[in-house]
Amino acid sequence: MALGRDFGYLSDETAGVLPDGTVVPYPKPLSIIETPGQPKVQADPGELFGAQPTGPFALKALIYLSRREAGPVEVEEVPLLESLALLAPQTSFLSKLDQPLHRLADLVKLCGGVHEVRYSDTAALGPVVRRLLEAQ
Amino acid sequence: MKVLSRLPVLDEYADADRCAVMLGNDVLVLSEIPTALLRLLAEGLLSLADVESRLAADFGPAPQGALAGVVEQLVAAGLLEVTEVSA
Repeated sequence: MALGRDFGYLSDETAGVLPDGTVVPYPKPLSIIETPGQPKVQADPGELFGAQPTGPFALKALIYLSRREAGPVEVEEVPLLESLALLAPQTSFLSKLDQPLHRLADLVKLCGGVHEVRYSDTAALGPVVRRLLEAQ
Repeated sequence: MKVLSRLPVLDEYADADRCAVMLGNDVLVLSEIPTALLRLLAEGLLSLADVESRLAADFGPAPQGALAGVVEQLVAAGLLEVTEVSA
């Protein structure tokens, strides 16, 4: 949510990425836990983030967010092969593509690699993500 | 005599001396020796003894039992098959 406010909202969990790096957004309503143990509340992205950005959208950075209980923000560049192993389980239908690892590796290289960002406070994410985007 | 052969993978991506392989939805990253072993077997079947001597030529002699351990792990991962054939 913090990143959606800072940068604009394209998707909560799923987006299509074409071989040339074009991102196809899927701006579904967000499922938010307001009360633990109760069903999630569906929230309108327009109400949460205001006007939605208009495309086209290009993939510029690949950032793997790892939430942890405590500690400062840490950024680590993931080696190419390890980034494939990191991203594959998060990539739907990857095994259905022709030469899936090559496709994934092309996108990783297009973005200058994958960075893993470990964080505990979402408010600290914005500046880190902005720096990684601007570095591309 | 033990003969090693590769099993098919969905995709394989090489980066310098290492590689990543995809089997089903899993991606495994292989270090230098297993990568070299799989590259040797891309040429066709090889006996365990041949593999050992060719790897030793590139990397030096392996500690006792080390290659057997690598082969065992690759078999367990579904990347390799070991067949016993009469010499």
